[in-house]
Amino acid sequence: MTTWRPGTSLDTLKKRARLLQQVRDFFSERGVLEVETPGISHFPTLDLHLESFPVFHPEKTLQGYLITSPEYHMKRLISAGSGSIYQLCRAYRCDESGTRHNPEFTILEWYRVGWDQWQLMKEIEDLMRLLLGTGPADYTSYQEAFEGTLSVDPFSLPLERFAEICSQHNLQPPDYLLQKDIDRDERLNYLMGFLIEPHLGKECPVFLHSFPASQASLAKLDEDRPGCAMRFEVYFQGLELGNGFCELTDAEAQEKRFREENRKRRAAGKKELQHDHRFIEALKHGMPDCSGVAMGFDRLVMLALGKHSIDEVQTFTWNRS
Amino acid sequence: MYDTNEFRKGLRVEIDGQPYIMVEHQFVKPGKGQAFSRVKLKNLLTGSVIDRTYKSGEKVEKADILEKEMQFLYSADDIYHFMDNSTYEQVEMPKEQIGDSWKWLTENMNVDVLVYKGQAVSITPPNFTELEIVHCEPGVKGDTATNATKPATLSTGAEVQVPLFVNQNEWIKVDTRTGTYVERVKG
Repeated sequence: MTTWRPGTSLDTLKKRARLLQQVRDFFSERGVLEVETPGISHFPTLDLHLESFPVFHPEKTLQGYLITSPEYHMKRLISAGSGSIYQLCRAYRCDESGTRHNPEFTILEWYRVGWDQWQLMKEIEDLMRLLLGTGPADYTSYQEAFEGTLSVDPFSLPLERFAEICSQHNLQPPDYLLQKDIDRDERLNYLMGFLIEPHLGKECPVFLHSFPASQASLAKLDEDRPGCAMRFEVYFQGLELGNGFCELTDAEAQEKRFREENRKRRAAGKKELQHDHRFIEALKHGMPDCSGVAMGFDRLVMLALGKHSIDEVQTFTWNRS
Repeated sequence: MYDTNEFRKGLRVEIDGQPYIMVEHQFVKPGKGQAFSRVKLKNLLTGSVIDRTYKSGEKVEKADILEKEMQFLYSADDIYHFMDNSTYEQVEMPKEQIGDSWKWLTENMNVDVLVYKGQAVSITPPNFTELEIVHCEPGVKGDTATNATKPATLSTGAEVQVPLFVNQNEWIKVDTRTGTYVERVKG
């Protein structure tokens, strides 16, 4: 196999460049400031299911980590008074490789100061209309998606029901998911990935909102919907395109979530990691209420151009780089 | 052991004491959740296909399997005899393991043999082979337009459908993967 060649055709390169330009025009017209933040951070992500690439000095001392997203740095800018900002940058995640994943990929991340998550979702709809020509989106809660697709309430998923759903769909889950003491979220994620996601957004974009509080990540909890977080994901044609929050601004609550994530890491036999104290300091100083979203730009390009593999829209994916 | 990171089409693995070949591989990572590998595996002994999902980082046993080129020597009493082209060692396989491949075997033909734990378990003949028709109804001259076919018995005993214009004692090229007639060749 010739490996020096790019995965993209010249036509794709040109169309990708045009899409980048459209994104920049979109935000420029709306008065959202383009920013750049570091690719290397002193702190790794603590996310249980994400791994940061460590960066070493030639003499083997750890210098930092490649970012898995620009989130903390961008929130520090917002705390410093930047107002609404966006960024197109590279993010890096260990071990993620497939037709929809590459360890290095382009994120489009933006924050709207003073907006709630619903206003942000409308703006995402506008952007998708511009880039993909899609129409109005559907809105469905996490619970509705599970009930509609699998006739099960995600907030009470007994192990037996999980096993039954898997066998009905000819899915053989890894053994650990059938153990009693495993987090319910692990089973929910499995069903989400294999049985719900592939069907989301067949006709139009779908916003999946009101995630369980246990999967809040960096979202505020929803006072109007007990047990839910103000977190959403957006899908089109079975492809997850982005993840957004009405952002948590409470420093104490944020620190508690970092501790909780480390507890989960420990329980999973992973190394505990040091959290970004500068981000916590920024929250203590005061971050204005805002909503933010990170979208996979490569996947937007895939959908815009009708390509089925990320290798066709990135110049050199990992195997070619 | 193979880590899920090494999963790819064509990988040969062992699950529950059975050898499989990976025919499909998909990386799935829902939202902020655990990543999985979903694979379709074909059993190298029975041909049946199973679906499995693995947590990223899980490990799967390598199958102790080799592919060797061997020469078909002869068959007697439903036992097929082959010779390993590199070691000249002789190997025999019962008809059940040969499957439909017996239809295309001719003496001295080179075939690919899968050897699992030292035992020959299956063979793959070349994709195309040429065989003589030993019996069929007489040809209809000039009839090359219709798609009508007739059965023909080949020198190996196999029966294939051939176009009406083909005659007994002529040689034909056959696709061994589908068992179908390709074209008439000069004998």
